[in-house]
Amino acid sequence: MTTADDAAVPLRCQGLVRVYRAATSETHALRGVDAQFAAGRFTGVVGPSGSGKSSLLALLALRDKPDAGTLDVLGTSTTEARPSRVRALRRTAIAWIAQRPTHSLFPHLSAEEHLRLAGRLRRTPLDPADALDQVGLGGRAGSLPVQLSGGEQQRLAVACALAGRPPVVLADEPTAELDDDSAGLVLDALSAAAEQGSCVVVTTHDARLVAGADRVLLLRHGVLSTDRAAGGGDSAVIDSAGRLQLPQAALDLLHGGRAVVSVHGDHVRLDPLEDR
Amino acid sequence: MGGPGPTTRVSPLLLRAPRRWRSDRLWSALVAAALLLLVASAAAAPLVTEAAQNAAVTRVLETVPEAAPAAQAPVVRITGGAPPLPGSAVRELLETAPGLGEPELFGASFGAEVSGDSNRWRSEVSAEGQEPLEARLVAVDAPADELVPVGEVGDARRGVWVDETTATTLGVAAGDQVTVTLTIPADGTRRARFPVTGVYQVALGNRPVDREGSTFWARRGGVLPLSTDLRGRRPPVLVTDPSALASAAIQLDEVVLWSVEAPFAEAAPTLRQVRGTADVVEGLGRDLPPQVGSGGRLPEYEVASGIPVLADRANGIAVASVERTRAAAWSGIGLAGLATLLVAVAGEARRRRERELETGLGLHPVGVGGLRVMELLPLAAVAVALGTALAWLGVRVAGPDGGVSTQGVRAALLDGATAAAGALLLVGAIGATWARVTARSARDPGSATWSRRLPWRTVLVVAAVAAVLGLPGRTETGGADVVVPILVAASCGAVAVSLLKPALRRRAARGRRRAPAHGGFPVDRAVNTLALRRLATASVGHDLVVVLVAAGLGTVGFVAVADRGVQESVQAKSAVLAGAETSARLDGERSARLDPGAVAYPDLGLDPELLRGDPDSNQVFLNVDVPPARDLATPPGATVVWTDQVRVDSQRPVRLLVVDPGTADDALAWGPPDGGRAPARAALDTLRRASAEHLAAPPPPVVPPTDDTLGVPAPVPVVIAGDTLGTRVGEVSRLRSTLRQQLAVLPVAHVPAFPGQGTEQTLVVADSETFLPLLQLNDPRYDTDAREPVVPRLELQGSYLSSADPVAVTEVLAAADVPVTQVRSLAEEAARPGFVATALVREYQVALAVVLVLIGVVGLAVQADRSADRSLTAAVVLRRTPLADRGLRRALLLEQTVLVAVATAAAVLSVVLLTPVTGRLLDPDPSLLPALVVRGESVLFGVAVVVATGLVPLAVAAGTTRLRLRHAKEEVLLRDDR
Repeated sequence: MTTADDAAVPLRCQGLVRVYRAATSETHALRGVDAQFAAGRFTGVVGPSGSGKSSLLALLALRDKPDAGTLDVLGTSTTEARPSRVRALRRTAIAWIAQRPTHSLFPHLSAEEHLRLAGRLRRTPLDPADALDQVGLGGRAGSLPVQLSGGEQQRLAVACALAGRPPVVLADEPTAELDDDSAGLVLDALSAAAEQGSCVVVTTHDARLVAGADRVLLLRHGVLSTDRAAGGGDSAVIDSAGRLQLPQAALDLLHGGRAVVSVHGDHVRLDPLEDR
Repeated sequence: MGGPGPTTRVSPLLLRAPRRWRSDRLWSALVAAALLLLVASAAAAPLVTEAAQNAAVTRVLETVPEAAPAAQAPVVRITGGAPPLPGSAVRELLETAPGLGEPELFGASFGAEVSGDSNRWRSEVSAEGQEPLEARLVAVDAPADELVPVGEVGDARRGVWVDETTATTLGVAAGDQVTVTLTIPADGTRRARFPVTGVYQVALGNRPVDREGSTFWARRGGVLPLSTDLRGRRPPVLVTDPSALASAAIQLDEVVLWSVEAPFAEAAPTLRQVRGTADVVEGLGRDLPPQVGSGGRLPEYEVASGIPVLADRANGIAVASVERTRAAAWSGIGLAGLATLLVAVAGEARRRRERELETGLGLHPVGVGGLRVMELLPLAAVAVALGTALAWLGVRVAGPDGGVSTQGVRAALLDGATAAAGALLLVGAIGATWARVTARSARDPGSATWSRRLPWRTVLVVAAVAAVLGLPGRTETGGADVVVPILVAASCGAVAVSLLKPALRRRAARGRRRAPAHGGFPVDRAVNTLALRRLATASVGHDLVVVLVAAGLGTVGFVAVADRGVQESVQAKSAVLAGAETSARLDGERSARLDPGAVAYPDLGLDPELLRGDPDSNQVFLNVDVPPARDLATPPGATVVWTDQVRVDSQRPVRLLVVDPGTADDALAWGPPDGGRAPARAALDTLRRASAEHLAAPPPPVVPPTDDTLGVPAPVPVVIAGDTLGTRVGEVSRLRSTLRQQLAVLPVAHVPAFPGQGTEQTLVVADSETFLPLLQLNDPRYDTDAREPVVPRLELQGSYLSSADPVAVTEVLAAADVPVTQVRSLAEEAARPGFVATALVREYQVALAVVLVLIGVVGLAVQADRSADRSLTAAVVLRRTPLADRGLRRALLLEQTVLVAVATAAAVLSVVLLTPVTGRLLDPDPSLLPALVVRGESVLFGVAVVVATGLVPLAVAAGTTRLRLRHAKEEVLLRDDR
């Protein structure tokens, strides 16, 4: 049962850790991420390559399991939920848009069939023509993905993802392989989804997406370092263990890798060690 | 479209799944090929079984001589003293047996046989003013339809047909009157007059000549009247109709033996039909009505039929045939299943993104598996139809030559569909399992694969070694032996890939250390390096492909080696068993009747009464001077041989065969020229020359048989066939015969086997000219009809061997009035279940080997597709380099070539390794001589077949690679579903 609180914040994660183990090494993709994603907000997740953006998105999309930490989707603790509940969430609550449109589409289904499939999975009656019109694909209902351009494919993927207004929309660099016009259409569609109440989380390097986001999270080395609300300043993220990632300028001041932390009233002060 | 409607009732994924195959036609073709082979392998089993059963029936019926008695022929004959007329209980009973033709009524005078004093019982025919001649009355339904007339034919009712010899002697023709006189001991003489309806032609032995296409009289041979257990005389017969014979019997007080005989009517009967008839026939004897009013004088009804025996024989052959193919057939199904598994795993591996999408959308793993099943459903349906048709065609072309019923095809269809359903379930299960793993974590790089953990190559090699080492422990060639070549070839493939990878890794490492050449990009070296690295780091797929192709090619090579050898072995063994085309066992006392010029038994001028009761009288006259007998004169292509039990150097009893080399050469069956019988023929020539030298030597002094020998100084030359008993060519041995004598013999040749050796492991062959005179009065060639022996004779068993067919031999022996106890033909010996089964399944085994190669081809094509598939991105990148996409194609082709070359080398190695045990594996009956020996040229032929066949998978792999790479760029850019 989803409460109003859960509906308002459909995604909550705490201490998410993901480690990829190979035969000879381990890669710590996420080192304990705490975050909440509210409905009706467009959140951008940015960070350098290898910072853990895609890993975080895969966990949020329930396409992967964390090695540690908890993730609640619409009030369901996915780390404890039965597989059937997880599948149901994937089917009805979470929409996924991959970087490459072909990863979001079946090669043997037409555009209209993709939308019908999406509607069926989310148990929502929808008009495929209307949905295709909204992403500029009117008249391409019978086309297979191979008969569409890259931009058209991604727009189709977005249309499928947004069909039935899923509570959570996750997009992994959706505009990375698109031209400006197509990227603009995708951005508009995602923004519209957020305005209609969906929780939209997008990993991206695209400045336009970042600019259009209500909130931007910066990931560095698998840790959330900055949380910036639209129109507001950057805020450093302190995780539940008290860890904090400082921006490079601050690090340059705190050379030596050590600082003195002191609390003054309602302030916390960091001083380089030698300055004391 | 047009506004939001209700949600789609059926998932578009499910709706579209059956057409999914169209989006990747090349891959679909490979999947269909794997399914096709699987279905064909499975469907072939019931088809082969039925074809083998029906072919076995045909083969068995072919071996039944025309003159075979009813108990051995495909007929049902009910014999008794009362006429089984139409409408009678006997006829009605006969009609209950299915598949029988129109019954033929036959009656014959039988008084002599039931008379207690048959020697004084006489049946004669006479004409006005002529001396009476011996003749007996017989009746057939329509004499005019069964006899070949000579001269005019009259229309007299209740008349008789007279044979041409009797008619000429009596001077009668159609329209004349003849009198049949029956003289019954102690009952006087009775007469009956008949008009002559016509005169008929006779063959040797007074047998009426059959009309064109009829075997009526031939089936009754020279034995008239007919009975299943009484042997009648063979005088000329007066042929009349049943009613005339019945009334004459009353008039003459003659006893008539009536029979009604129905032949098996189906032109090409199936085993099921024969078995059905046989089951009813076996019950006929119980239900026969008792004869009424016979007063003990008439024989009771009895049933004689060869149908149950023939059905049993056919069943035995069919069982042996199926047994010989079962293991290979299951191997085919197993390997085809393995290929399907390979296809399923490879197919699932190449759909990683699609699977992630499916699980990401929340589809249940079982649903994903179901989608895979639905996707393959059309291909499976086509595979079931085409695979069954292919199996049917394969069995028609290469399988046993028996027919297959609609029921059989239905069973094949069911088996094929079951196999296809099993394959679909397998594919579905793999899809579901993989989806479940993906659903847990689509991003886990995974750990070591099963193939690295499971030492399957070692298991394969150990299994092959165990199978080969276990061969000597099994005495019979079983179906499981057929798996041995497949196992050995596959394990050779496994060993080859095990050796290949480290070698390639070392080579690749050397290539890395070498500095790049000056003067531009070394394309060729890059191609080689690319191919070598791919091979050196290849996955288990490469290994499996090499094993599959090696198994297929190795089996083809083995079958090629076997093909000729097995055929020759069957011919050679049949010849050794039968001795000649026809072999008739003679009554030794009367065998000299064959030769009108035979030397009469010597007149010793002794009173037999003096010797009566003396058990050693035979020994007393061993060294008396008797006139030499001569070898019996026989028609061209025939000879008379004699056999006895002897001991050589006091060892276990063995058989002695005494032959006349002069006539034996043309009469004996020597088998195929190169099939191991050539040494026997050469040995016979050696024996003839040695005998001539022996006879040319000075005559031995006559000495009393004091030391239990015949006192012959020069040892008699012999040939030892089979087990040599430790004798050596040129070294004298001592031979003791049942004649209680010893003589020195000199082996002049050892041969693996000799015609007429039968099932004996050892045979001593002697020349009649050197051996039989030593028997003195016991020489079986003396004519004892001319003079009765004065002393009891010790008899050798005589046999008449001829290159003629059994009918001709029977006629010759009947004409000479030589009693025969048994007639056997080469065809009968060759009809042994093991032999017939071997012949029946020979081509089918070739077809199975081809299927195995095709399975290997599919495996290689799958692997080629996967290799090319994984290289699509590289193809786009390399397009911009000097290597170009052509260089990549060359590298991939080089990779396939190396794989096929390794598999071919492994297959050749397996053919060579199997050579020592090939004879043991293929011998149609190891208990019979000569043993199958594989010749060097056969092995070379097998190797050539392997190498030539190896080009097929290579061509298919090359084609697959080219097709896959042709649209590489488009595929990468547009589909990218890897």
